[in-house]
Amino acid sequence: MEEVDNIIIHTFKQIGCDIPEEVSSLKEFTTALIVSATSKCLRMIKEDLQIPSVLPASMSSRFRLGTTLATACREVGYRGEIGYQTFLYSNEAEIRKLFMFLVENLPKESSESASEPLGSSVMLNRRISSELSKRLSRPWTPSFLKKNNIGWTGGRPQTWHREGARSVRRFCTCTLRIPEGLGDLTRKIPKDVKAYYNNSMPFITSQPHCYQDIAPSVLEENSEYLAQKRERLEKKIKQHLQSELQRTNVNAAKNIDLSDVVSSLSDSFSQGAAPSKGSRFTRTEQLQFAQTTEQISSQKSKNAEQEEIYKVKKRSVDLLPDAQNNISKLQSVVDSSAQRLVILAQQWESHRVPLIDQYRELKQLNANRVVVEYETMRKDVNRSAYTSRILEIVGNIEKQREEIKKILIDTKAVQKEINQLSGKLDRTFSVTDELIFRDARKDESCRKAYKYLASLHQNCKDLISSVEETGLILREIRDLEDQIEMESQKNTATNLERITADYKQIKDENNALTKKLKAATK
Amino acid sequence: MELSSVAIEGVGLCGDSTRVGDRAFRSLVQLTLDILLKKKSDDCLANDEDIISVDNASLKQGYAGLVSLILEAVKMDSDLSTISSMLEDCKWATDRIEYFFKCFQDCKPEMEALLSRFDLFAVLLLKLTPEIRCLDSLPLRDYRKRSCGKLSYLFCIYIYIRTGSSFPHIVDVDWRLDYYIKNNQMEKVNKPMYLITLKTEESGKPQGKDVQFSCSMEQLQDLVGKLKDACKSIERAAVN
Amino acid sequence: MLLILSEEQKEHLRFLISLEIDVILEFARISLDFILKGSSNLKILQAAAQKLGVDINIVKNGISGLQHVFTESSRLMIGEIDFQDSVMTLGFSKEVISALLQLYLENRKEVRNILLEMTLAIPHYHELEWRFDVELASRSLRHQTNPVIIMKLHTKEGEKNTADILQTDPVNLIHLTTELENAMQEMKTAYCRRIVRNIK
Repeated sequence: MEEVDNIIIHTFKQIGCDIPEEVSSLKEFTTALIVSATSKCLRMIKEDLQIPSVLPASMSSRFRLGTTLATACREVGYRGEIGYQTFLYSNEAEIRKLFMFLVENLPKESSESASEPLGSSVMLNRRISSELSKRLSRPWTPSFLKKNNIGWTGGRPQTWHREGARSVRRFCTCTLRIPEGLGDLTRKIPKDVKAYYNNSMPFITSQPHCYQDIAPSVLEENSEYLAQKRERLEKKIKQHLQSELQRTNVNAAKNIDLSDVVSSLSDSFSQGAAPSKGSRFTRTEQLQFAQTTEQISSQKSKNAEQEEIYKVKKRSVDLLPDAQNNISKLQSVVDSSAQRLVILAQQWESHRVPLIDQYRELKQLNANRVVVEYETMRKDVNRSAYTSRILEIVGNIEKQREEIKKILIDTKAVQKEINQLSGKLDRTFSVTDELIFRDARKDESCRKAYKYLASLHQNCKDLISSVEETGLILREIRDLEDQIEMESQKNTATNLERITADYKQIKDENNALTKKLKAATK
Repeated sequence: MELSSVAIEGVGLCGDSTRVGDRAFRSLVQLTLDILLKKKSDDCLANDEDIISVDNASLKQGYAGLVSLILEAVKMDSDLSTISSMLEDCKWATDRIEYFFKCFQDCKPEMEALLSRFDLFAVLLLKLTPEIRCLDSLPLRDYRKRSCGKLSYLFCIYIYIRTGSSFPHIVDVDWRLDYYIKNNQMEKVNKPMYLITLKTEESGKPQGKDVQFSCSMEQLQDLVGKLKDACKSIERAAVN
Repeated sequence: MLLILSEEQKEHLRFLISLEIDVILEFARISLDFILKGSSNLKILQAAAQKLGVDINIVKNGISGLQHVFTESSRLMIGEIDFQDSVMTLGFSKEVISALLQLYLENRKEVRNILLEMTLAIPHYHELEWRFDVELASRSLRHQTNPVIIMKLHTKEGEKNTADILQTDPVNLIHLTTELENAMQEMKTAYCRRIVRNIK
């Protein structure tokens, strides 16, 4: 059973069921787990069977969910006994039977494709081979039968296949003129321009000399614009980065909080890395954000500067009376601040190092995760392991059968011996009985002996029968024990408890509903 | 996918129900696709009774935006969610987006086929004859020298820049079988001789040039063998 | 059918009769060499003339006479006996004749091939190279899968080699292959075989 459970759980994990690691057998499956696994399986088997996989809170909808699951299972072809109780008040054996059926009926491919995340090169290879097989299945047709050298296959959506070069064109472009600024109502367009837009300007598709040049021209217009925009943006970012760098250097010297510097630095770096992706909105937002942070920090630095100046001035005013002494004190202060500067530089370094370490660590972690994923993918080989296990089990069963056969033969031999012995006993008894009976008439002691013999025989018979009876009873006891085990497996008691609890809940719900109804009717 | 600001503005115009009414919008989307696919000419835009309600200049910019949007989306093979977020940014109503997607999905294969006909820069994936596992920019004529006969099925990816249009494309073949008896130089030649014409198509020309050559039985066997090699390799690639 | 030679040619060849058998065979070899490789090396002729102590023109004539004998008999596919008879009329000894016959039979096929090449005016198939590409993206369409087979067809026209670069798609490639295979099978049909049999 363990093996079966392992296979079932492995398969469930493959199709994406969220089974906790510590669950290792079907015995540990909770009702919620059973419901989610069943609905997932059903979805894999038949796509239109969309049954919620989360157990609802209210009892009546739980009951309904159980019933729909049961009917869906029957629809898929499950022949065993099944109803809402199978899911809600489960017992191990029934659930195992159901899961075995579901796992067997899972579509083979989907379980495989779900198990391995496809790399782009694999996808590319598949794309190529599917395209090729589509091409190869097409019959040859003369080229003049294909419009624009394109052959079509498949229903909707169709796929196209280029089979010729007659319609191939060079990528020729021409400049296009498009009206501008009509979306912005606040912007005034000069009257003559507007008149030109309205009356004379041709449609964009009429502007190229020939139809073939429309698409290239439009695409080129767009990509040219984008290239210019990218250039401008790169320039801006470059400038911004440079100024930011300079400023942060100054800031560091002016001993503004170092973590600030680090974060602003990383900010500016992330801005430098981002522009290759993201939409133009996020970009402008980023730029704005950067500008505001820049303003804030420049304000901060100004503040700090002024504070510093104020302090210095106050100090110098305070210190004027005892100049000589204070100058030496100042000297020492200057020394200590120089030392502090060194310490700050170290601190900066110490902030930087863990960040870099963290970056490296994350990278490493990522790599590790990929490796782990790769390894888990490899576990697909389990299939062969399972088959070998199954073969082993079959071998074991074979061995057990042999042993059972041996034992049967033994029992038969014993039976035979018993029969022989009882026959012998009967015969010897009748002979002795006759002999002693003959002598009993003449001899008093013989008569006694005869009586003893009879009673002995009777007693032995009783003994044997009682032994047989004990055996019978023992067997019965064993049967009963088995039955008890079976019954206890169905955990009727707990199920009964649950049922009563659920019944109560339903009653409560009903009561609440009737109350509501009453309130509503009032 | 990214569009120029003028095009974005144009797309925005199309979504603006005060500028372009619902019926005009529907006609505009359908007509734009039809015009791009050369099913209709753009005179229809000026004559359509629904579209006539739209201000001419706005129509021209909106139309240009729509054309850019469609072509760019097909070129980049953008998925619907990307397009949808862009259209939402342009303040399109959901029903307009849905209608646009419906028409767009119907025409997408045809639009792809249309764009596939422009031939210049190309990134190519190569399937090569043997020993060459890594070629940077080996000219075609050097392949043979480095390779021998059978095929290995190594994929080798590299960027291949083709300048000019595609090569003449073979679309059919004619053949004639002669029995060569004698000529002015020789008696009793007595050999079968094939005359083969490969019919080709060339880009931008109504009629490609024919490639004509003759070959003996042995040469034809060689040719057919090599072609079969190629067919087999393609069939095998289709199964992988 | 006997080989018919003009009086002038006979005159040229007569010079050879007087020579020793080894020298004659050397001459025959040189003349075959000239036929097969196509150029006459004056140095060899000069060396031969010096050795024999005769004028170079006589040697040259002798060689070209032998060349004529070989090419003519190859052209007409002259049989063994006819060749022997033809050469006998020139007055060569028996050993020389049998040696010449040997040389003739050995080289006849190649000489015929050369003659065949000389006559063909149409380009002749020489070789085919191919490779298989899949076009994945282009300037106007960034996502596509377009298989293309590129072929380089080498043809020979006399001395001139030409190479055409052609391309095709899988369906057309298969069509091309089956069509040419059909052409090849055509030679094995009963009809074609009957014609071949009757012409021989």
